[in-house]
Amino acid sequence: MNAMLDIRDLTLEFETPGGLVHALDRVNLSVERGECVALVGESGSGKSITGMSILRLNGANARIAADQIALDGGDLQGLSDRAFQTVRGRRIAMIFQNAKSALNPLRKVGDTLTDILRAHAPEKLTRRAARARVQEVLEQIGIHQAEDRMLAYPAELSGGMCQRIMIAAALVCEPELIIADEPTSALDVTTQAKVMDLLMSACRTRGVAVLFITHDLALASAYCDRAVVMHAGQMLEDGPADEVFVRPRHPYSRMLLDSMPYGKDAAEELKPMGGNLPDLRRDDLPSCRFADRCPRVQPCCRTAAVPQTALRDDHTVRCFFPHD
Amino acid sequence: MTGSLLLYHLRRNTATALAAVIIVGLFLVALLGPALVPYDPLATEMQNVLAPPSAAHWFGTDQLGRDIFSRVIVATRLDFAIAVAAVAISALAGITVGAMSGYVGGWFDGVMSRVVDVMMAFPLFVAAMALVAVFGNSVQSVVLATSIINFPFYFRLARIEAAARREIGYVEAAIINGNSTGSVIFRFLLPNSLPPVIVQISLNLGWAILNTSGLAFIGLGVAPPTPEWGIMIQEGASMMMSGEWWTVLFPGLALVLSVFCFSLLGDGLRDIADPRRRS
Amino acid sequence: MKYRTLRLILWRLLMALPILFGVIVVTFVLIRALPGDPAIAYASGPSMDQEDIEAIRRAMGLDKSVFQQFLIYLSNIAHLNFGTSMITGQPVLQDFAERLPATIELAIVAFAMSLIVALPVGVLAAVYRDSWIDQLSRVITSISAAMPGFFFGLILIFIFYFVLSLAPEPIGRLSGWTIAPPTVTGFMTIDAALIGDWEVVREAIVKMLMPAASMAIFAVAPLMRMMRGGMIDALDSDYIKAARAYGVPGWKILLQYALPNAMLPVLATMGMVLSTMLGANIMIEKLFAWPGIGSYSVNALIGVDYAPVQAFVLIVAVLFVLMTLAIDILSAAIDPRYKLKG
Repeated sequence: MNAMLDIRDLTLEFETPGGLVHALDRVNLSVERGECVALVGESGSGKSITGMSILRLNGANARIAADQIALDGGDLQGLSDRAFQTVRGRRIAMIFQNAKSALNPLRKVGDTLTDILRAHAPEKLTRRAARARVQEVLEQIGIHQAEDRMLAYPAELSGGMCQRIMIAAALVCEPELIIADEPTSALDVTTQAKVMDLLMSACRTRGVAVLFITHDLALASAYCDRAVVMHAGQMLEDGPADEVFVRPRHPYSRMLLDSMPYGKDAAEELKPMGGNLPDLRRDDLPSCRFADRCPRVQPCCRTAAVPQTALRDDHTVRCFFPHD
Repeated sequence: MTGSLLLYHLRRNTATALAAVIIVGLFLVALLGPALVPYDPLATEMQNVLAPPSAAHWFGTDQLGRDIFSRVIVATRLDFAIAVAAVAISALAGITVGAMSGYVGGWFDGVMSRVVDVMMAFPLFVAAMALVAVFGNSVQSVVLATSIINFPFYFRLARIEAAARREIGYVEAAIINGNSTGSVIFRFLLPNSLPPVIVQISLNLGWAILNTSGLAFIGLGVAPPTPEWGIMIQEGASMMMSGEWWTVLFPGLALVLSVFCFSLLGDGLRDIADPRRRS
Repeated sequence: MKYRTLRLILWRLLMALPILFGVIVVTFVLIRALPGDPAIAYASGPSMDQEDIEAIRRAMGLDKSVFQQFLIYLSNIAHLNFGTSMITGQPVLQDFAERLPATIELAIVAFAMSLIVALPVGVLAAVYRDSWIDQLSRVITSISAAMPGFFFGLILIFIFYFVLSLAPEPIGRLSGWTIAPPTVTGFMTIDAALIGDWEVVREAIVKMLMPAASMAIFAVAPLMRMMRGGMIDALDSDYIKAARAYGVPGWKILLQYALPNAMLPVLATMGMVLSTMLGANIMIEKLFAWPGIGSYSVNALIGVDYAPVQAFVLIVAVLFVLMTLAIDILSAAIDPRYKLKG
């Protein structure tokens, strides 16, 4: 059976007045049906851009090249912009970091949700029927007084409530894949857990595949089946979440984990990340973009193409010298 | 990479640079013009009225046979002098009072802000018109009126800057070090509000010129036969209906060129001073 | 919801009161600061003798204290008594009432013209950023910002009246030999339409085109700039990105998501432009001999007839304050984020 999402060798560059930005370099990524995959890395590592490029949202100055961006076996790249409209929101939905600013401030949230539903309705869907369906979804995910909420403007709702509305927006067309881009980073910790529970249980019960983009490793390990580690536009490690987060193989994954306070007994064990992300405008980027920061770096890391090594069936790492 | 970036900035800034060069040229014309012009701008030549542009009279002659080229050149001095004087007064007064208001706060700030609110309630041109009427129909009145109507812009600018910076570390440090209120305002607050003020000055010089010629056009301020762009356009207005276009076109173009360059320079300077708000 | 809006309106009105009061004080000072004797200024004719003027002085309360005079001024304003014009010999209020429709009619046409040019080009310049239409918008903005309306008007007159003979004589609202329709509303087009004289309606519209265009030119720059900027901000926003991600149709995103948000900042500029056109476009009215309140007031000013000038300044300033107020309230009604300021 096909994977739900299967990306092969996705490369992305931005044309800017300052020159080409090499944003993504041959990214491979797959999400199985009903699976939740975490895409982790520092800010600026290309996680969000990867998510955006699946939905062609990277803007006019983006140059995409990929072997395939397949959804349920069908390559999306061949679709015309018009045909692609039926993918956005309908087959793949996206949840954004800042829900409050992702909702049109001048439109009642109920209307925004009906807009989405009606955009994808197979035949003419009356406003009334659409509203009823929206209300039903809101109630399903446990929003009280759904009818009143629908009449509110985003400014009148809390950040957590706005994110719940966005989750409903993502679910309302029953998509096959949801890309959740830092869905809870803008919320305070207690709300964060509630919203995450809501999102994940909704997806699990419906069998929706989730690509969960986050820099929060604790959150990723708590909710996800698999984890993909990215750095400077390159995918470095891909494996089961409990392995990647417990026994990381790539030096970068280890470094990332060492910098997190979770599960450490003493402050000495906490190591800050060394170095910075390389300037992606450089034309002479090393073939492994982590080379300049890597403690295990050898000359070949900068010049030779780095192989993607399978450590096990379900665990690959892109490194010449992975940890054991 | 750097090539296209350089080109990008150059393209933006050539316009600004060109505007600056033209403005310098206009100031030179204002300074030296009266000494260089071929004719006395006031000398009439009744046998040669409304002559179209020719080798002898580059911009033609007006209804009294005066040389329009000489009049346009000489007028530069008056229009620029009025604009510079007016903007200088309003900038100095506005910034000083505004910085004080923002820094001191309290009732002084409250009263001044209300006063400025009331000033801003009047449309600029109507206020200028009324003030010229109050001060009497003269060039000095135009300067005074123009500086009064521009005062609120500088006041508000300096007030906001001062109020925002009052809390910033280096100003607090200056206060702790025992600087007097006056010296804090003049040595620490004013220099930092300079970039937005310079932008405002450039834009205001253009408005001031427009304002002066507009007043002259409706018969206020500068009076005939003084050469002034607004007056020349007003005197040429009826000629435009009978086809003597040169009477209006040349003073009009001089006016547009000056205002255009000042606003272009102002926009360019704003881009440089505050790159976040690039237009 | 209703209650909140009502409270907002009341609060705004309250905030505008000190400014209105300040405006009245300023105009009160104005008439006393103007050169000449207010009693003479208010007198209905220049041929009055000393005794008459003394009588007027007493009647106006000029022998009383400044404070009492101010109270009298306030009560006059409250009764819409703005004095008498020396030139026309009529009460100023009546003069204004006769001329206001001409000003409003022209301002509406000019306002419409500036919106028709500025808004679509501003939107397109933002949607197709850095394209030829964006460059065009830059050129139009720069020209409009530097072009005095009276010079632009003269260029139009030369091209369309003198060279091409397309435009009618650029004087007044109707040509000399056209018989004006009986005044009902004061709006030439409406009055002519009321008696079914479509020929005059057409002529009145054509007569307005050149002065309206000259009046519109100054407004294009700020309107286009705000429209383009607002649209760019809206298009770059998260809610547009999200709407795209959800497959909301492009036209719907543009019309229902981007445009309303982009229009919010333009509203304030629209208010400024409209009030300037109504109250401060004196030069254009003068150039085209348009019988509106602007040319009336400036003629009064030149003719040392100060009662109309004082009334004009007061009315225009009040108009500006009320327009700002209206825009504020409108923005608050449209934008649910709007919080009470101050």
